[in-house]
Amino acid sequence: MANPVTLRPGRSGRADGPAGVTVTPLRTLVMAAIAARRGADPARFAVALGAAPPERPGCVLAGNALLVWSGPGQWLAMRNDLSGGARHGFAPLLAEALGDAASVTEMTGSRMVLRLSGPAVRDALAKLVPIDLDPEAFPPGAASLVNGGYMPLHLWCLPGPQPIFEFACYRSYADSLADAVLAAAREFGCNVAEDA
Amino acid sequence: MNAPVTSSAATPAISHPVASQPFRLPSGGLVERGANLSFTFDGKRLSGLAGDTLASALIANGVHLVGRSFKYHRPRGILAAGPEEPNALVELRSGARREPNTRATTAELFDGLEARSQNRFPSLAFDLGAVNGFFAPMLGAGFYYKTFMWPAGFWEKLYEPLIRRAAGLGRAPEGADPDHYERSHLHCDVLVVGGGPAGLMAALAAGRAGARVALLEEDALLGGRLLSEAEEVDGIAGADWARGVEAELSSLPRVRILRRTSAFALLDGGLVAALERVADHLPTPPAHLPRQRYWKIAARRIVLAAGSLERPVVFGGNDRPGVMLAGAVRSYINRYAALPGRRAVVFTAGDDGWRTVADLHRAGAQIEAVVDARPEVTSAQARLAQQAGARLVAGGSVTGTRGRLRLTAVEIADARGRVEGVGADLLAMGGGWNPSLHLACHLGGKPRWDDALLAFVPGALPPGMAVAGAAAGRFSTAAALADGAREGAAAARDCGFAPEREWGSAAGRECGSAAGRECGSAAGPPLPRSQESEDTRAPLFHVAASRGKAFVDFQHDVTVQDIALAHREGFRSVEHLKRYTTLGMATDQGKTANVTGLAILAEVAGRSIPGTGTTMFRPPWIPVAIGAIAGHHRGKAFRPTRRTPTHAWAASHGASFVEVGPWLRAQWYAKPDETDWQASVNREVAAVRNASGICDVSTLGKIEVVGPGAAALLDLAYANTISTLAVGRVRYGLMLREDGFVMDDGTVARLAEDRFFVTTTTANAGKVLQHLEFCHQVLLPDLDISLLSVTDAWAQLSIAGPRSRDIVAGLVDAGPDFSNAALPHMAWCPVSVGGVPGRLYRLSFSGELAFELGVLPELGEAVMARAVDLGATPYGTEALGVLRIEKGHPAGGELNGQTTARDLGLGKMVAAKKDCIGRVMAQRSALVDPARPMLVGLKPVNPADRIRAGSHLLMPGDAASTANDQGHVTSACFSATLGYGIALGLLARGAERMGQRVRIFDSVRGGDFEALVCPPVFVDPEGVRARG
Repeated sequence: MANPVTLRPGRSGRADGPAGVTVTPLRTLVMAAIAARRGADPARFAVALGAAPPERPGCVLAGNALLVWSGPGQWLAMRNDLSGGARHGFAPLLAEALGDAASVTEMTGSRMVLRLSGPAVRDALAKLVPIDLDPEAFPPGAASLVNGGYMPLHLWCLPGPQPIFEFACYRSYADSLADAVLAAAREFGCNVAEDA
Repeated sequence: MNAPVTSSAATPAISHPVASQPFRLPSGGLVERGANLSFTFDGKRLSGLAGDTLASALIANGVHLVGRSFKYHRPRGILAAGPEEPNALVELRSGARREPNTRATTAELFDGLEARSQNRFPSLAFDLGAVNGFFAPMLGAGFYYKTFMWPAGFWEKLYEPLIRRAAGLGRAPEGADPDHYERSHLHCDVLVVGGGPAGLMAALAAGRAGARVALLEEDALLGGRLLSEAEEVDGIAGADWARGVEAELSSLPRVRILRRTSAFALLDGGLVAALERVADHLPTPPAHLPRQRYWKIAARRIVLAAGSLERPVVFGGNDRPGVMLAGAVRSYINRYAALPGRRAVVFTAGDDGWRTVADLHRAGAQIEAVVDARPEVTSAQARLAQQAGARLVAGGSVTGTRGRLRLTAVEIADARGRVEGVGADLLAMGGGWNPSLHLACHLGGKPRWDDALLAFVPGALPPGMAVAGAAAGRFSTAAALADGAREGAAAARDCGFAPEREWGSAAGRECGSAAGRECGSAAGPPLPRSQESEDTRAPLFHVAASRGKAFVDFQHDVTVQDIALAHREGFRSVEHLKRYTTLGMATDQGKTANVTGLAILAEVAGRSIPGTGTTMFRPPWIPVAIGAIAGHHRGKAFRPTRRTPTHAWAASHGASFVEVGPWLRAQWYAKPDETDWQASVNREVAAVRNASGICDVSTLGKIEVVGPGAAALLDLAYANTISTLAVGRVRYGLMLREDGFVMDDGTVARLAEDRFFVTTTTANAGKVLQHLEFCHQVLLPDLDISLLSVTDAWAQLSIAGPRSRDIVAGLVDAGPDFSNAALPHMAWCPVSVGGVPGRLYRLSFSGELAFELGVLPELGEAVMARAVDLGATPYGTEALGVLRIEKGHPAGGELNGQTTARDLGLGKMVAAKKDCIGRVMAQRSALVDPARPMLVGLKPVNPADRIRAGSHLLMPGDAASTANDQGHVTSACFSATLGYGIALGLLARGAERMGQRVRIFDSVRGGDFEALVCPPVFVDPEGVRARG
C-alpha cells in the first residue's frame, strides 16, 4: 500500500512541550462490511460476533474485533491483530458465522484508518468535523458518519476510559486526510507514531 | 529602544526621533508602563506601550492626522476607540502581509509595527487629491450616474477605467498571503456574545449553573465599557472587577473564553460565525498558529451582550482631526492613559457627555466649553463645569470647526444663536448610543425604535436569543449587570441547568423591562454594586444651522447635503437613499452613520424616524478576510484529492497525472527519451493493439449489490435485463435517468445468486450509488438489499492486448483455467495473487483480448510492477481514450446528459419485456425524432486535418449559422492504429448520412474542413479480437 506522503513518523507542528495529539496509522487492519438481512434475528449477531452490534451510531468491542455502526443494519468489523493468511480469512469466517443473517463483504484496505489520541485530540478534531465531541455528546463507544475537509469520514471513539478516536476515510483520500489531520493538530504539536 | 523593523531606513524622521509620548498621562490606564514598543507611522519612528492600540499610541504621541477621506481626500483623524472607526483606516505591515484599511482603533500595538496612511499623494499633510474638495459641489450623490451618461460609448473605454483608478481605498498586497488560516467548530449550551458587564454576568450565571458556556469578546481584554470608564463595581475599579470574574470563569471547566473574537454573523439555523484574531497582535504568527481562526458555533441559547456604539453629531466640519466621540475620549484617557487634546470642548445633549467633562478635567485638560443642546442642565453638571473652569453653553450647539490638518477652533452658537469661535484642539461630541443589535437582525429580525431611548432596540428576536445590557438599550452598568445575571441564568435554565443560587435583581423595574422573562426571586446574593447612572438626553442628530460640510457617513464621505439631494430627487425609501448616496455601504457598514442618516432623512422628509424606515444589519459585523473563511482549504488543500492504489508507482515511472473529478489518474507514462506526449500515447496504444498493456482502472465506481432482491433492483435501474445473467458472467449495463436520457454505463458481474458487482464511470460513482439507494429506499422498499461502495476496496488493473493472457498467467497463482473456453469474453472467475484472493474479469474496453484483475489495494503496485516485468506496457487515460474512440465506445463526451440510448446506437439495449427507469420518458416524440443527432464516426477527407472535440458539424456549402447546425464533435484523437485523426460526433440523421461529407467547423480555435461520416467503430468492427 502506498504510504501517504504527508504521514511520516515524527513530530510536527508546535515543537515545544509534549505532543498534544498522537496520530497512529492502522495500516494492517483487516476489515469487513456486515449488512443485516431483513428479518434476521438480532440474537444471532451477538452469538456469531461475540457482542451485539450497536443499533444506533456507535462502536463495541467484540472479542478482538471492533464493530462500528456504518448505517442502519450495517457495520464495519475490523481487527488489527491478524497477519499472513489469517488476514484474508477474517471476512469468510464472519460470513460463515453469520450465515443467512447477514451479507458480509471483504473491505480490507478500503479505508485509511488513523488513531488519534492525546490531551488536545478533541480540540484538533473540532477543526475537522462539525459534530459535538464533548465527552457527554460523543463518549467512548460513539460513532458518526460525518463530513470533514470535504471528505466523507467515519469517526468513532473507542470504548474504554481514555479518549482514543479513530478516523476512517476512503483509502484514496488517505493523503488528504493526513494533511487535514496534521494541519488541525499543528497548534498542539503532533506526533506521528509508527504503524500499529 | 528596539531595533527598527522598517526597511525605510533612509526616512529622515528616523534620525530625529520625536519626544516620547508627550500626551501620555503620568499614571493610570491599563497600559504597561516601562514596556516601550517601537513602531512607525508613515516611516516616522514612534513609541507606545504594551496594551496600546495603534490609535491610542498615535494619540499619546500627539498624532491626530491619520488618513485622507475616500472621496474628497479630507484630512481625517481618529473618531472612535473601537470597531466602528470610520476614519483612521491605515495600512499595516508590508510585503505580502500588507493589510489595507485596518482600523487603527482595533489594531493592537506590537514592537516593530509598520503603519502607513492611505489615500494621499504625495504626502498625508499635502495631498493633491484634496482638489476633489474644491469640486465638491459637483461631486454630490449620483454624480457618476449623471455625469458619465454621454456619450455612451465612452463608458467602457474612458469613464469606467478613470473612475476605477480613482475609486477604492487601500492597496491590496501583490504577493500570496504567507499566513495560515483555519476553521474550527464549537458547541455549547450558552453562547455569550460580548464580555462587558452584561456578558460577564451572563457567563458567570450560566457557568455557575453548570452549563457549557462560550464567552466571546472582540477585545483583547474582558470588561467592555468598564475598561473605559472611571467607574467602580463592588467597590473596586471596573477593570479589576472584570479580572476577578474572568478568574472565576477560567476556573470553571465548562466555560470557554475566546478573546479577540468577534461574532460576526448569525447564520441559518442559529449557527454563529465568529472570527478569532489569533495572531494579529503579533508581528508574525508563530509557525504552529494560524493568523486567524473562523469559528462556527452551535449554541442552544445565545445571550447577546454586544454593548452599544456612540453615534456622532452631524455639524459642519465634524470630520476634522481632533473631533472625537465623547465616549472614545474617555477610553483614551481611562484605558490608555493618552490625552486626546489639551484644550477641549465637549458637545452633548445628554448626561453621558458630562462623564467626559469629568474625566477630561481629572486628566488635566483645559475644558474651554461644554455645549449641551438641552436648555437646562443639572446643578451638579453646572458645578462640574464651574470646577473645570469651562464655559457652559446650555441650549447651544456646535456649528462649525476650524483648522487645516487639525482642529484649532470650534464655532459655538449659544441658545440665542450667537456664534463665537473658541480655540480648542479637541472636540468631544456624542449624540447618544446605538445598541449593537446586529446579530439580532441577521436572520431578518427588525429592530424597534424606542422614543424614550432615542435608539433602535431589538425587536422580535431569533429563536434561542436573548439580549442583555446596552445591546438591549439598558445602558447603565447596574442594568447591564442585572440583565446579564438574569439572562445567563435563564439561558442555563432553558438548557436544563438549575442555577444553584441566583442574584437578587437590582430593582423591580429591570425585571419588568426584560422581554418576557420571569423575574427571579430576590432571595439570592445581591448583584455587584455599581453606578445606576442614567443617561437622560434630548434628541441631537444634526445641527441644521451649521456651516460647511457636515458628514453623516465619514468613511464614504456622505454629507447632509447628499441626503437632502437624494430626497429632492425622489429617493424617499431609506434603502434607496442608501444605494444612491452609498450611506452605510462602506466597510464599517454604517456603524456610526445609519441611525443619524435615517434621522436626517426623517427630518428632511418631515416624518418620524420609525415612519421613515428601519436600519437593518446584514453580516458581517466586521470585515472578514476571505482567507479566514477558506481556512486550511487553499492551494492543494482547496479540495481533497483521491489517489489510485498505484499512484506512487506511476509517479516513479514517468507518469503525468490528470485530474478526473477528485481523482488523479496517470495520463501517460513518458519514457526517458520521450518529450512529446503524443509519442508516449502512440507507443502505449500500439503496445495494447500489438502486445499488451496494463492500466489502473481503480477509479471506476464499484458497488456491491447484495441480497435476495438484488436482481430485481438492477432490472429496474438498468435499461437492459440483469436478472437473466448467470453466475460467473458479466454484462454491459446502461442506466437511464427518469427522464429517459442516459445516466451512466458500466458492467455488472454476477458473483453469486444474490450478489452483483456493479461498475460505474469514474465521474458518476457517487451519483449511481445514490440513485440505486433511491431506487431501493423509495421505489422498491420491500426488497431485501444492501448496497455498498467497494470502489476503494479493490485495485482494479486492466491488462489488454493480444498477449494479455500470458501476462495474466504470470500474475495470478497457478490453478484456474482462463482459456477462452473456460473464461470467455464477459465472464469472471476467482483467482488468487500471492495467496491473496482476487477476481479476474474478462472485459474489454480497448477491443482487444483483455482482462481486469481485481486485487487488494495494497497489492496493486506489486501487480503493476510484475506485469511490466512480464512485458506489459503501462498506459494511461490518454491511450485509454484513443483505444475506446477507435472502438466507438461512448464515454464522457457522449454520456453528456443530453443523449438517449437511441442517440448512442444503444436503443436495442432498452429491454422491451420489462420496465425500467426512464423507459416511458425515452419514448417521448422528441426523443425518438429521426432528426436527432446520433453517434457517428468521422474521418477527415484530408488525413492531415485534425478534428477537434467541440467543433460543429455543418452540411458542405451551408453557412456557419446556428440554424444550419447539424451537431458537434464529442471526442477526437489521433488514432495511432490508423495513422490519422478520428472522431466521434453527434450528427442529425447520422445513420442516413454514412459515407457523406460534413463540414467540420471550429469557430473558436479556427478550423474548417470536410470529413467523411462513418460508423463509429474504427477498429475491428466485428469484435473478433476481444473474443479471441
